[in-house]
Amino acid sequence: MGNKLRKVTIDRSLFLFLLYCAVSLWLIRFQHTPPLKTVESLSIQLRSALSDRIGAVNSYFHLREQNSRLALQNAMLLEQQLNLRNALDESIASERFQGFTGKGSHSFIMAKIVDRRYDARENLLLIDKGSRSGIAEDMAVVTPDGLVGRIISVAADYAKVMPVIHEDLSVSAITASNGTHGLLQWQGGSESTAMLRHVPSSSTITEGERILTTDYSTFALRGIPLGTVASVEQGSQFHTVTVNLAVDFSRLSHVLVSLQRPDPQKPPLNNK
Amino acid sequence: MLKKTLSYSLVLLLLTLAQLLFVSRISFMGITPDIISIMIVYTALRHGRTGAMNIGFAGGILLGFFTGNMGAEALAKTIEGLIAGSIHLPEESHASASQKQRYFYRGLLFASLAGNMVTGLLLNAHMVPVSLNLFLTMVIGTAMTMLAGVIAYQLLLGKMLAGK
Repeated sequence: MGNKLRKVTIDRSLFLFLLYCAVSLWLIRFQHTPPLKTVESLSIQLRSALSDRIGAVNSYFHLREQNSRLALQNAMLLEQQLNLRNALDESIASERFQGFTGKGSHSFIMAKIVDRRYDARENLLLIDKGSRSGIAEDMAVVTPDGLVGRIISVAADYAKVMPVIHEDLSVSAITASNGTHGLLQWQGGSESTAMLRHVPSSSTITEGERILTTDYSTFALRGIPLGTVASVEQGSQFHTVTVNLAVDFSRLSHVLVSLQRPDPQKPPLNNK
Repeated sequence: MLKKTLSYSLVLLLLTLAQLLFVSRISFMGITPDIISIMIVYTALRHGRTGAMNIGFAGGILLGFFTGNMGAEALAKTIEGLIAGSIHLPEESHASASQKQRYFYRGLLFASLAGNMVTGLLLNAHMVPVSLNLFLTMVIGTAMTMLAGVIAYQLLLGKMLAGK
């Protein structure tokens, strides 16, 4: 009788185990399909709302540090603004003659980072603005320092950002001085450096050079700083270029989301 | 039965939220302790393999729902439930407190190793080589979970099991 009962229990356990494994494998296989994406969107909303509440308490204790950083950032922005104003005054006159209609002007939405995971299981940012604020997938996320990442999933009031330091994100890049093209991609490890790939060995690229986004990107606006060249190793066909990223991901608290949508025809062309 | 299921579900939900919002901030080399595993092993000790797998699967789905890795987390936690199920202490057993403690730690060690092996193979957000990721998740992850398990046992679970 005891043996029989034990056998029934083992059979039930085995059946359950196989069932649960099958469901888990099905979920892994269809993780990126629309129904599961909808579930993910709901989870972003819930998790972000919770993190937001907790973050509000935490941020209270970091107000002094935050204020110092904002004051420093304001000073830098003021300096940049003065330089830009001078440049703008010069260009306005010439644009009038060319019938400039405002193309290329961008609008941004400021968002707060409500959760950030950088562990072995996840590498993402959650921000407190979503579709209700006009945010959509594939929008670029920036700070005054440079490119932060790309919106990959949107809920009503929150959105998930794939940061530059993510294995699946690559950004078309160009050097500021001589226009050498490359593809910026994070190679894992340190969150302050990435690699600039596909830089032909015939091109000249030197340490300290600024790296910016290009028009070829499917989501990022042109001219956003990505970082500076930290080291260049000569290769037979391509240079191995290490880039110090412009954004300090360990200290991010607020970001700007560019509302400019990428050209819908770009991704398919790039994928071919 | 319904009351027990509801109370276990509520505890699981609270632990999942605690894991996501608080425990995940205690990180060493990107690895965090796993308090869901502790609940799985506790359930295994009290209710056997089926209960542990139920809690494991549900915990994995819940955790994965919030992290976007439902399949991987559910698989890892189900396997943890299966492994932890081997340490069940039946109602009629007269195990001493030290035996229960040994059973708990042994179950947590093997369950955590197995679960971390699965997540180490399936989830690699830092893009480190698979072997290094496996080493980090299995060694550091298991060590941190064991440490959390010792604290939980000394503070709470030991007393709960003694009253069984």
